[in-house]
This record gives sequence, C-alpha cells and structure tokens, in this order.
Amino acid sequence: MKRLRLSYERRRALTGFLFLLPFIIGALTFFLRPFIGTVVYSLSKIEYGDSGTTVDFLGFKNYTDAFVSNSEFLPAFLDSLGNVLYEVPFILVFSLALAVVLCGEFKGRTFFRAAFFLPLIISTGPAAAAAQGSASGLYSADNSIMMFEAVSIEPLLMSFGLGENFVSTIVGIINNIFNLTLKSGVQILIFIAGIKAIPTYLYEVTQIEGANRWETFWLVTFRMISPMLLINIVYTVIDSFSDVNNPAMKFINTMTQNLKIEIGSAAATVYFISILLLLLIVIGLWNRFLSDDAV
Amino acid sequence: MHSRKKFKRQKGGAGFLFVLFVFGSFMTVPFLYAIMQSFKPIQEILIFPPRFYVSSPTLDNFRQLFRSVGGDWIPFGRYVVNSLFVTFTVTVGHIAVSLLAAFPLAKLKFKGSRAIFKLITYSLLFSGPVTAFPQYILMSKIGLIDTYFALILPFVATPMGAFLLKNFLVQIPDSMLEAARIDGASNYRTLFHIVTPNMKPAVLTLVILTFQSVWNGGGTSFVFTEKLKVLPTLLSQIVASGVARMGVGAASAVLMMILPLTVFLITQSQIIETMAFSGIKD
Repeated sequence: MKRLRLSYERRRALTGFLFLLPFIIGALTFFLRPFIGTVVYSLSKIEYGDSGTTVDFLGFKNYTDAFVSNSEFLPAFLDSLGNVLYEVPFILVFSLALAVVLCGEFKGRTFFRAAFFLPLIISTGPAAAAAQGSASGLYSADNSIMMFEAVSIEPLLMSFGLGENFVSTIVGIINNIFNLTLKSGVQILIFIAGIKAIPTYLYEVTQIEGANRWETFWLVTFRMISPMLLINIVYTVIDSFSDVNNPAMKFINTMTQNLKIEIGSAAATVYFISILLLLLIVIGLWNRFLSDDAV
Repeated sequence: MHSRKKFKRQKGGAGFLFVLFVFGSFMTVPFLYAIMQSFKPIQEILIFPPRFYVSSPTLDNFRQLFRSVGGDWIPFGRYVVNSLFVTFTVTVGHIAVSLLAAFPLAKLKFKGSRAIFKLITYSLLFSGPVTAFPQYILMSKIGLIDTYFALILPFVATPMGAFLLKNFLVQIPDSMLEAARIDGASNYRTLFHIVTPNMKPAVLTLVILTFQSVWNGGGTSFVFTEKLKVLPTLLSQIVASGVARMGVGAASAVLMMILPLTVFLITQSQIIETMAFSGIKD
C-alpha cells in the first residue's frame, strides 16, 4: 500500500483541523444554527395551526414592528447600550485591581478569593432566588435591594440622623457597586489565572532594578496579562449585553414568552448585530494600538 | 543557572486590604443570609422588616425538603445523581473539546485558523436565552429532547472555553513545543502532557467556571421526565411554590452551594505559579 504523502505544512493543517472538528461540529449545531434560525424567524410570519407550525417569509415587517410600532424597544435598546458603556470599564478596572490584590501573599487570601467567588454561585440559577428569599425573580440583580433591607442598612444610616434623600442615595450607590461586583467574578478569576502564569523571574528583575510596586504593575503585570484583558473585555461586553436583567433582553424575553417570536427575533437580531459591531470596534482598536496577535 | 527559589510578592498595602475587606463583606452577606434563612422557622422568615440573624435555629427546612421531594416518587438522591452526572460529563467534555480546539488555533496556525478563531469569538454572542426558541426546535428535530444529551451536548461545545484557553495558550513559548516535537512527541502528546500542565491556572479556572455554571442550571426546558431532571429544576419548582416554602428554598440553595464552593476551594489552592517560562530563553 502506498503511503499518503503530505507536506509538513499540509499535515499540520490537517491535524489542526482534526483537533478543531469536535468543537466546530458542536458550535455549528448548537450555536450557529439556532442563530440563523433567529434571523429566519425575524423575517417570517409564524402560524400555529392545528396541523403544526408554518413559517412564511414576510420581509422586514417584524423589524418595523419592533422599532416603530412598539414604543418600548427603542428606549430599552438605548438604555442597554448605555449600561454597557459604563459597566464594562468599571468591571474591568475593579476586577483587575482585585485580582492583583488577591494574588498577593497575605493571610486569609483563600477566604477572600472564595468571598468574591460566592456571588458567582449565588447569582446564577435558582439558588439566587432562594437565597434572597424571593419567589418571583430568578435573578439576583434586582433583588439585592431587598438584601440590604434585610441587613437594615437604611434604618441604621437614618438612625445616625442623616437625611432620607442622602440615605437612599447612599444605599443606591451601594446597590450599584454590589451589582457590578456581582458581575466581576469570572473576570477576577481570569485575571488571577493570567497573573499566576507570569514567570516570577520578571518580578525578581524589577525588584533588582529597584522598581516600586506601581512601576512593577505597569511594566510586568499589565503587559503580561494584556491577552487576558482582551478576553475580559470581550467577555464583559457579551455578559453585560446578554444579561437577562437588562431592558433589551427583558423585552426580547417577554416577546418570546408571549409567543411573539417573530418580533422578539427581530429585536434580538438587531441587538446582536449592534454588539457585534461594538466588539469589532473594540477588537479593531485593540489590534491597532495594543497588540498584533490577540484575535 | 536559573534559580528556582520561590519569589515572594510584596504585601498589599493597608488601603487595598481595607477596600478588599469592604467588598469582601458585601459579597459574603447574601451567602450568610441564605444560610441564616435556611435555619429559620417560618415565623421568623415572615417577620417584617426581615432580620439577618436567626434567633431560634431549626432543621425543619432541611427535613421538609427531603420529605416534600420524597412524596413525588423520585427520591432526592436521584436529582443529585443526575446533577453530578451531567456536571461531571460536561466539565470533562468541555475542557477536552476546548483544549483540542485551542491548541491548533494558537500553535498550529494554518490557513483559515484566524477566521475560525474570529468565528469562535463572535459565537460567544449566540449563547443565552435569545436563541432559546430555535434551539428548542433544533433539539426536537435531532431527537435530543427529554434525554441526558440535551443537558450535556450544547454545553460541551460552548465557545467560552476555546476562547479562554486559546488566549492562554499563545503565551506558552514555541521553543517548548519545538523541543517536544524534536523529542518525538505527537501533537496529541504535546498538548496533553506538555501544554496542559503548563497552563494549569487557566485549565483549573475553566474547570471552576464550567462546573458552577452547569451545576447551577441550563437546558432545563429540554427535559420533561422527572427522573432525568437536575437539582436546579427541582429548586426552581420549590421556589416557585411561594412564600410558604421560602425556608425550604433557602435550605436547598444552601445544599446547592456546597459543591461548587468545595470545587472552588480545591482548584484555587491548586492554582500556583506555573513554571511555563522558567529555563527558556526567548
């Protein structure tokens, strides 16, 4: 039998492709196809008849329904975009600072790491609802206010003789910080993994050269974790956009639950294309100014 | 010679520690509150304004949890076994598939690998409840509805893992892989015996993330048969039954949280500085 002859390059490409195959099959089946489905439904009219469901091509009417005839979607959409713009930088700075601190050698760091991981467990799934004693909402972001009532911060502050407006502002800020920190769990872990992968000799060098902590951070830590920074930017943008609590997602979910799947799909498609554009801009800027081999 | 002496990082300043402490307490409060709630008798749960501490702790909620579930013919243990099985399979499968995908993307660059990676990045967007309806249709078309596969397969192929690992893998020096190749290691061997141990922090982080997200839910609308259901489904059924079962809900939430927390503590203690770069001059 004659052995198949392939050049080294070809063989490498073939191996690469074989390694990728399980993932590609999975991603195409479970992510790309449903997404295409969403786009198709957004352009169709779905009839639920006795003999089953029929899907007919309709054109862009669902889009005009979502944007023009419906007064709720556009404000929700803009609101969500605005949320992302202020949330993402905060989450990134916060999680990076925390990761740096949590990587340090100090007593109780395992406890603190666990403390920042707890919200991740609590904020996902039904545990959130149960933990906060709420029967209606499955997700925690809106319920955190209730939690602070539970520990009675508000009456406590008022008992110090502070004005009611002032107290509610403070509690509002605390809740916002709480919600943002809730969303930083994954990012902190990714940064910690990044920092832990930095070779220690780089730190030895900066120490020998007499750099202070601030300089060490910018010269070593920040540079070495820049790929993780990009991961976190992308992750945070996507997480923030697809958060079930943001107004646009709420709209999409309500539409789907009320079986107005076409309009929900149209809204989802527009919404997703806009995240895609935002990510393209971010990654484009990143590749232009910060790195040449990130994405 | 390269010194292997462990280098101790400087201690965090007092200011940092204070901020850490403040935020850390924010984070632990809901957890402690859930534990408190789970030990409260019903009268205490319903007090308004709610109290943080439990004054007369009881195990009623836990007892009721096992009893109420026991009446539905499916023992509580069955849900636990289902959850364990699904979570374990998904975590192992997801890590394997993601490692396999990340390796060629980072190290075996070939025609189209950049395009595939772009696709992965953007397919991060497709997850989530938006595609729920088409995904359901798809599942029923390929006959996965009401099987374990519906709870497992979509989560194995989540793009998150490949995306994360690829970005860590680029940092592994090429010279290390070349050394392995010269010594006659196959790509498979290089990946699992050389690359993976050297990016332990990333892999373990992915273990934590996958484990907790699968353990806490997902895919539950794809399964109807009671004996195939996982813990989160049971939990949401309990929670949905209203105020009277708030304590039971808290009890089950506490039970749910124990395992991910354990996994977290174990894996985090394993995340130490890797020696990926030591001894290699670039």
